Amino acid sequence: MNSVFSRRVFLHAAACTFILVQGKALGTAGKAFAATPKTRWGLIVDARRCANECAACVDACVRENALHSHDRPATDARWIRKVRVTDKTTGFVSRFPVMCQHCASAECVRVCPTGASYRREDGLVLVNRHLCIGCRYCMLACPYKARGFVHEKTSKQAPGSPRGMGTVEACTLCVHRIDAGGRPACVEACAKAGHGAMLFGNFNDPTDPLAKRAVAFAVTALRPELHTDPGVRYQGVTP
Amino acid sequence: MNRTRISNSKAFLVLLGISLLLTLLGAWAALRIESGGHILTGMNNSVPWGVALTLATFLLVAASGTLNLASLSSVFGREAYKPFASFSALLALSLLAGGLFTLMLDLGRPKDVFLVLNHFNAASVFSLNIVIYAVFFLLVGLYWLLTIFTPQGRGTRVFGFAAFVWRIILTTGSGCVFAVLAGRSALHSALLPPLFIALSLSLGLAVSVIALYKAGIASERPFAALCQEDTARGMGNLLAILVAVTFYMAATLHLVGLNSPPVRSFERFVLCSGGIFPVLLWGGFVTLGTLIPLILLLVPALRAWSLRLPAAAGCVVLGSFALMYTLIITPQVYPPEIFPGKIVEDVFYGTPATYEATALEWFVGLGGLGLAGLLSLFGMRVLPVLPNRFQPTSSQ
Amino acid sequence: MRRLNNVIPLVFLLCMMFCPPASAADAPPVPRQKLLRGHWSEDKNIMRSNHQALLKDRMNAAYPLSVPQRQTSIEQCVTCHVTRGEDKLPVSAENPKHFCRDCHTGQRVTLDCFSCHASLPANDPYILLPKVKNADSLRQRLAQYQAAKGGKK
Repeated sequence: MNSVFSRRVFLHAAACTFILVQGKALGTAGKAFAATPKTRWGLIVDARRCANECAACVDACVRENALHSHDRPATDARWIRKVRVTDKTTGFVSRFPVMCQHCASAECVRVCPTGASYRREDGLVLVNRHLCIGCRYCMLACPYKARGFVHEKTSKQAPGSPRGMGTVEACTLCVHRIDAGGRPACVEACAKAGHGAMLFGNFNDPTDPLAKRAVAFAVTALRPELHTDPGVRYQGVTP
Repeated sequence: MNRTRISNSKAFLVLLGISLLLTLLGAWAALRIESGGHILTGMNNSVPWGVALTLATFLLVAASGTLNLASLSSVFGREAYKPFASFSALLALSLLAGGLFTLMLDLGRPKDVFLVLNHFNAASVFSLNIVIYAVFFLLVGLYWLLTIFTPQGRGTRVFGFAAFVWRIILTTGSGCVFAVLAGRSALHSALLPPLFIALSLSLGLAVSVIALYKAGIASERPFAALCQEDTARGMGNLLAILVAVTFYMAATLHLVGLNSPPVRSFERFVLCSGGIFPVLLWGGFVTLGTLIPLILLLVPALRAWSLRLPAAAGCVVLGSFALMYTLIITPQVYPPEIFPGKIVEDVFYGTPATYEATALEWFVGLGGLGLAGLLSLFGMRVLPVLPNRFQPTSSQ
Repeated sequence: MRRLNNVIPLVFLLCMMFCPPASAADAPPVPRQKLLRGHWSEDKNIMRSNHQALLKDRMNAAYPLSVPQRQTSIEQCVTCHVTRGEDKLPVSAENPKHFCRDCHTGQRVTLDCFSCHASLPANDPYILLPKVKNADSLRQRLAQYQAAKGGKK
């Protein structure tokens, strides 16, 4: 009787230790993938300031990343698109650019078989083209249709945006500029054009103008019911 | 032993040649696409998965389904289907190989596919499926060999059960590839994996029937030599039931969709206004894939027609492909509801895309079918797999 | 799911008898050359035999989950290693006279780098190392670089 009781106690203790150890391992594993609290890059797009006939952000992106057009709009690379949206009931018109939303819980990162689609600790969602096999599953998964596929051979690539045939691509938030202390080409072009509809900054830094604006005004996410927690937020756009 | 090998007849060589031609055509098309880019296909940034991937999914679903006949004998104990166990296991292996062939050749960078082995994202259904396919090969391969060499053994039943369970897992995995996509509400349904399982059951049986007829042609034997009349009638009744179940699943999916606000306009598109897609759904799946096979199999007056079973099976195969096309392609063509309740003036986000498959895509897809035929014919030539009613005939 | 992340690939890989997954922390297969004056070795033979391992190491180091150091891209190599054509303009990788293709046309290794990466010298200020301007020879560029670094090692 004694030995049975002590064996049961031993087994219980072993199981609990095992579970605790696994839990700790899970906990630490989880931490390695969590975003650092110091930086979360993002954009706030103010649709009310987006001008009617302007395509400065789109043109700047094409120039910066050498997205040469082949006059085939269905397959040409387009990392940012300007949409014009009319409310069916009220008739209210708004226009704003849509690009990769750099989600905190990105669908594309979850479904990529090789892990080529990944989220950097500072919030950018990027494609590691060394690992991309071109299965295009992330293109199906993205709720914003932000990902594109390189259908043709690339030439005269921009030095900051390597892109090659057979891989998937999307807006990188001009990572080569950000890492050198700058801001994305679209944001700069919008500022230069005098509209100032796009603001770039760090959501996690309370002194950053972006963070201050996000706290003070209502910024919305696209498709909020999908809980993607995007890094691109909008003012003047009702989801 | 009432199983034989196929002999080197003229018909066998012709079928082998056709399979080889299709396979080589598929490989050539894949090489062309790899060097020239996917611009040579009809796929674009709105429709990244086209006909080649539809055919790959079709083959993979059929692969798990063709284990039906084997499962009926090894798992459910129906002795009448025992002669077909090794035949159906061989079919399953060949179709899976064919499906994977097409899947891998359609990648943007096929040479890098082995990266998956070193960099594995376990959260991705796609990569989990790769593991499932590998284990399927192992289990069904072992089961196949056991059915040939120790058909009465206990190991056959054990592995038969394991293969049955694994094939359900595999089909669920194939369904989950689409069902987990939260961004595409048309696909994000809990009904999709069960629909895939029902589809695999009906499609698998239909493909098995057609493959039996093909084997009969290759071995220059009448169908009656491969399969007894009452077994054939049983297969016909089973096919009718499975076709009805598949229709029920698909109908439920669309009925529930019509009642979900996020998907309602998509359902209207696929059922009424979408051009080719309602035609494929109503004409292809409902009429050709469900009504005509049910009429052929259940109407008593048609029972006398000897080609009743293969005709029904052929219709089921075509109807299943039509259903799969609408399941996979339509949610890509129809723009996702990013801005509900609003009119979007942008070609990419606001209007349905156009998709027209090019010949190269069809070749890549049919290449998988060719490989499946090649492997199954080769397997039947080398090992005694073909059921033979009249004994005794040539040995192992 | 995280636990599966650990278990499934191991089981699968063991079954398939492949090597365990590579990581950026693994040492390259050949001895690393110490960085000389911020640059790799000036010895042609050392670079010839080791550049593949070193390039791969830089490639893998560019993609950790933490913020990468942007001074590791191949565009910076070709900014200095320039071959000029008849019109005195730098040639891209499509031209067989390009710095990398000059050797690789004869070797068994096919170059895949420039199917994605730019092969012409960069004049993007966000890519260039500081104070390196277009120079006519590798020696000149190296001298510029040394001057920028104050002649330190």
